[in-house]
Amino acid sequence: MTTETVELERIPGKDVPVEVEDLETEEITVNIGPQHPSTHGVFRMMLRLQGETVVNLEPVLGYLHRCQEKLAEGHTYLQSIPYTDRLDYVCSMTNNHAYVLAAEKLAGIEVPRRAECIRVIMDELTRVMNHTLLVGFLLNDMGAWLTPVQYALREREKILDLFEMASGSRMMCNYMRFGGVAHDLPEEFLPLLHKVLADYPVFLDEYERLLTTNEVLMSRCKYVGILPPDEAIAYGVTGPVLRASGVAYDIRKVDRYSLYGELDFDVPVGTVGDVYDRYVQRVYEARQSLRILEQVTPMLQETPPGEIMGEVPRRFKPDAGDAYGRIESPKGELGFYLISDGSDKPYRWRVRAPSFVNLTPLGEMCRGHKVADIIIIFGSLDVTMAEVDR
Amino acid sequence: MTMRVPRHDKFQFPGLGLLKGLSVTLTHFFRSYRRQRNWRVPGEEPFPGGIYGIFTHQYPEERAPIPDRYRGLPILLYDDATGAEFCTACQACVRACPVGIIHIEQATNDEGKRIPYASSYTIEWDVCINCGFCAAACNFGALVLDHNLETARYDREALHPTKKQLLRPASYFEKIAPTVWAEIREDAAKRLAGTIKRRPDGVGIVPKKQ
Amino acid sequence: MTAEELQALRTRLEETLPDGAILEVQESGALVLRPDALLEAGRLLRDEEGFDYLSNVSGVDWLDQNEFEVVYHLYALRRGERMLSTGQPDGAPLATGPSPENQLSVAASAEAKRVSAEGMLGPVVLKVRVPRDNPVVPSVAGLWSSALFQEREAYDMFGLQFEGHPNLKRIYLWDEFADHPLRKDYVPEEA
Repeated sequence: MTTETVELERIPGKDVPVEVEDLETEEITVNIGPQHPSTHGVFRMMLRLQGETVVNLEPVLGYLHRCQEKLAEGHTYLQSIPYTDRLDYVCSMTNNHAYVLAAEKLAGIEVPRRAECIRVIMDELTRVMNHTLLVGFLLNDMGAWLTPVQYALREREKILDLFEMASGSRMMCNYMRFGGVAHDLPEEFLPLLHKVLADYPVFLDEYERLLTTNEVLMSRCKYVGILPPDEAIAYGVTGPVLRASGVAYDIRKVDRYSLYGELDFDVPVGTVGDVYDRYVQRVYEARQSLRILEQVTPMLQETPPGEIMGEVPRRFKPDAGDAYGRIESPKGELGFYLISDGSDKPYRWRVRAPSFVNLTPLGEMCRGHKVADIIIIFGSLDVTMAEVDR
Repeated sequence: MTMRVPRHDKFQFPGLGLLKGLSVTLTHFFRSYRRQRNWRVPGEEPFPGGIYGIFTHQYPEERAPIPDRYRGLPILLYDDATGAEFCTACQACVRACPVGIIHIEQATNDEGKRIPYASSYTIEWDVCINCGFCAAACNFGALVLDHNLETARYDREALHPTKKQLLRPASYFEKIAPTVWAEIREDAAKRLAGTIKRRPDGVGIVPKKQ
Repeated sequence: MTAEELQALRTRLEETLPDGAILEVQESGALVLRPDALLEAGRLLRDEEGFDYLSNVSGVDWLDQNEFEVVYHLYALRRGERMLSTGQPDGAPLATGPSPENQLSVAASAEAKRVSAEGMLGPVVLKVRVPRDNPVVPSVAGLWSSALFQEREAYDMFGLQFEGHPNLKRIYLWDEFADHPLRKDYVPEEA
């Protein structure tokens, strides 16, 4: 407890400073508990507040821990694919892709071109969907109660219809297999894909018209939650958060896995690294994903239908060794580290979840901000607790 | 090939951003009075309204179309013509299931030799994660995934069906998922001919309903 | 990373590190270090070789050999960024699709950059082994802050003690939980 003299700030136009002596102030600890509509899952933050300003923030995790890494050691490699769907439930196609990429690296399996085209299409559709959905939920946290979310969900329905046609399920797609994809695309897939590619840019322009120059959004998001680029790299932050801080690192461009070496797209990069940059960067990245989709769709139509699986042994038993496969998921770098001991079950199945590592600088970013800003900063980091806790 | 995202720091007239946003919502509001259905109807142009229109279905009178590949809960099939079940109790689905919810017991004939017929077959539908590995593993075209969306029941036992409750005629599956049935039909018929020979008479035939 | 690049890196490290710090170089290119040489090697890799991004810290339980292993994956982020970025004015209008000559030149220039770059974008894989009954590993959280949460997870799941970590407590399980679940000899208690 400190006893201090507090001088209230001068209000322009009324220059009578008011001094209050002997005002006792105390730091209080407040819990933003696991059940909270703004915490994007079950996430707890312990805040130390001086008035309304945050002095320290400690995240408490583990409320959604399902011990997937231990479960996977008891299942075969193939049986773990549905579990990867449930890591980051919004982006199940990219989770599948990362796992399958790591397993293919471990076993040395090649993937035919048509399957690679399908994989890129699914990945980029997921990225578009995730970014618009995230912008919607960020606006939700800011108090624009449900209008942007509703628009994003309306467009997301078309993409979910595409996933349902191809894989059989809207969210838990379980579509990719070692060496390719599970089924070929049905006939009604391409007409709907062309419709999505025609409608989505119109929708994104409308979304930007609704949100980007809105005064409330700009005043709440600009210069809030700044993450400098060197700190971002040290904290291991990847994905749109890193690019919004000004570091142009995109795993699709660096590793050039799958077909990304042949595709032409830009990497949007922010300047300041605040919440506003993270929001605008995601919208521009969604536009780049649409550009990739427009390039891959003719590539898909050139490949002969039916060749969707490579040469895979009947029982997947890779030789002893380890492999780390990573992709650029919509949230950041999603990597799988697999160790095989020669049997059909993995010895170690480790997920490098982007949301988990992106959560590390949350305390640093929130210091000095108000409580209302924390919700926005956390929302802009794009965290899915299922991936954090696994 | 990097590009800097714009920050919109230039001065704009106060309130202009809010008005632009309001114009978007008002456009949607007035367009909705045209009552243009913005759905996906199989066979027609999908989502004709683009980004405008009414996109909600008045459930349960209007329902969204379910594609052939949809993964509902697993069911067993039997052949319409002979009434013989396709399932041979080979346990491939048991081994494939990631959550281990399928339980099969193989039947034996009078001499104690095992026959390709399941004397008991239960699936725990409440634990099923709808991954479809069981249907992919079945070599006999016996286990497929239904298109049921309304799966709620009042008690737990209704969600643990026995074989009698799981069986459906193959014509039912052909009606709901023709492309999937077309892939497995020939193989299933060929293998069924071999299976019937190895079963004693009368075993594995589903009684005809009156 | 090619084998030559890895060999060159290993030679440079061996010159500076004390003798016997690199115990083994595995087939896949992973460097197995002695635990007490980990911090020195990490500092060299970060400051002089430019591997500024620690992607993954993973614990492994080798029950048969009675050892725990910690695996680190490092990448060179700034070097990768330099390879990619060419810079464009603010909010430049986007092309809606590639023009033929643009696509070819993009691919060719990217390839040229890749070949002529300083190379070595990663991953560099470091492995450290400690005995199972005394699993103490120096913490790299001072070098790369991305290890802060990941080492806490390795402590929670395996019981690995990271010396020098500022806040080593359980991250997923509740504080009073006694065992470490990802160990191979973990037996869950009957519900």
